[in-house]
Amino acid sequence: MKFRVPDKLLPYIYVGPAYLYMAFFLLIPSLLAVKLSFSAPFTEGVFPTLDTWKWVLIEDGQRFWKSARLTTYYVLTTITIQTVLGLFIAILLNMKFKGRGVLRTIVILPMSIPLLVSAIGIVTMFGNMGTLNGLITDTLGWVDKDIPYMTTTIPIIYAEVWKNTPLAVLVILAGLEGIPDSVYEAARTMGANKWQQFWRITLPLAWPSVFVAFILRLAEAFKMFAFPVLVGTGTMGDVLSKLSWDEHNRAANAMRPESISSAYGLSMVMLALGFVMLVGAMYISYHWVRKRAQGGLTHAK
Amino acid sequence: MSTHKSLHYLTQASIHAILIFGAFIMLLPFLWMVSTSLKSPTEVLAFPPKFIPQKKLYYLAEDGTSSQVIEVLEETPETLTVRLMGSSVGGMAPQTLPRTSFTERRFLWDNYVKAWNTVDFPRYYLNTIFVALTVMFAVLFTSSIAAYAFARMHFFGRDNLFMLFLSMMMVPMPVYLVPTYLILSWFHWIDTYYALIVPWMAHVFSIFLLRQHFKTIPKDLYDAAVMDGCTHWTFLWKIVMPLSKSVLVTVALFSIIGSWNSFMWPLIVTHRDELRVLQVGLSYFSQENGTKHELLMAASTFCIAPLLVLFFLAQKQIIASFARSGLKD
Repeated sequence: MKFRVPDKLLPYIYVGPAYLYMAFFLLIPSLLAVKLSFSAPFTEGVFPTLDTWKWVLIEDGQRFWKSARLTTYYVLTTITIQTVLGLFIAILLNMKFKGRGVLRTIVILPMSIPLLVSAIGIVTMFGNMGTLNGLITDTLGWVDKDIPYMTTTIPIIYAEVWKNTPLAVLVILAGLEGIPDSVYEAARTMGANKWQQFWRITLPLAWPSVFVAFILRLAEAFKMFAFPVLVGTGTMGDVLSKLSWDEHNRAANAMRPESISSAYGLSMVMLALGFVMLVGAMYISYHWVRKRAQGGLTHAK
Repeated sequence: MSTHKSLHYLTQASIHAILIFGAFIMLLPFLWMVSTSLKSPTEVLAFPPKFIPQKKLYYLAEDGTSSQVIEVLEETPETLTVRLMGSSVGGMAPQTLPRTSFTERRFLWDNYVKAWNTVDFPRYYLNTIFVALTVMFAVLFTSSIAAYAFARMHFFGRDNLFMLFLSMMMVPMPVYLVPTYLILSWFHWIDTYYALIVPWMAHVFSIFLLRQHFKTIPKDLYDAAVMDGCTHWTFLWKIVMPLSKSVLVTVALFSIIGSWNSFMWPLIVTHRDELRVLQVGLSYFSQENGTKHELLMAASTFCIAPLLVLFFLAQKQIIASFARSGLKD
């Protein structure tokens, strides 16, 4: 007789392997981190206590809030640039022209370049003796003195945009390719020019995929870690996940307890969750309002 | 009519100009990598930097290594007295050597040979390929069955579980690093291939991408298949998977890129030289006492060459998979 898994159980068996993985390597670690963050920062064995959070948020709060502001600033600037630039590139790559395949490959190329190489490249470009200063000051002579780019937020923003825009391009391009040609044909026969086609057709129909790209990047952007560590000079790289990493290293050298590192990491997750939920809620309510407005319209008719 | 046509050409030309400029920006770090890999140590640090290496005089030793001539002090018909760069020929002391042992070169291809011989790259290559392929197959398997369940089956708590999955994308490495290390050490997996492979055997974004695609496969197809005696399992493997080739290629490629370029994790969980992967090998050129830029870039170039080939081959599939995955919903 053939053995059959009961239908009710089947879905759980399907998601089982992925869940087992997630439980072991993401969920349990995260819960352990939560537990750690509620144990005492400087005396061992005390649990539960709010001392760690108190230390992180209030006693050493200046560092935390500065870092939270910096992280938010980086996230918002990079994902805004990524989404707008991603939309622009996707629209261009959606046009039909010779060499499109090659260009599409080039656009997703930054994803394949090792972080170490990208980081050294960025530093070579923006450093005081770097290519950019060489070009602007020495070759073109626009400025007299070298500009200290590395003490600004520009290199990290540039690095994040360069590395992560391709994903936004892919997602938005997907949305654009889904728009049937017939819609444009209809618009053309009705005399819509290119500009109107863009605002009235391309943008509204691509909007959901632009939103997906934005949310995907938003969720991931708070994790930014490698570039701030490798490229950031001074306090320019002090994002929350880097503080968490620094504290972890201090813990490894038995200089500070692990609990502080967890608290930094978790506050980063909460910040990210907060932003994603905020944007999600805005999107849903926007749709709800629009639907109601449309409903009202049809009623009026 | 003709103005219309010329306008058309003008827009076409400007689109091309913008695209070529953009492509150049995207390619710049890559071109810079290749350009640096062909330079001599002195030229790497030269200011202002030159994109294409300049022609230079080199001294060729008998063992095949070359050193750049920094300065020519004296010339006779048979010999040159020069100051050499590099430690292999006695540091900076002036040397008088026969003219025949000098050569003019522009591109230092032997940087690649030097880099390849610095550490055990063949071994690192094998390790990386082994880890990348194992992780890839595991990810393809776990992600497709989970995505299928999320897309096609109804069960208690499905959407909440899915949201839980998605929110896991946000957990940063410093949060899970220590606990994961502890879990691995409970299993005595530190410093084994398990540590490199097992924590990466499922991937949240892949599940998301596959689920979006599976949702676009019409339900009628499933109903018809059930009539013919298909179960979920056979439907998934015989019908859904062949229909999802391009998404699977994308998931596979992203997974390969992920393992190929992961650096922190292998560095932390492996210590033995036999278990090193390519990225850790690269870090060898960038030590605290200075970075050997030209060797690092040469090594990087041959490390990512296989990825570039894969990219080019799979480019169409990647775009198509995003296009068909119904990300609009």
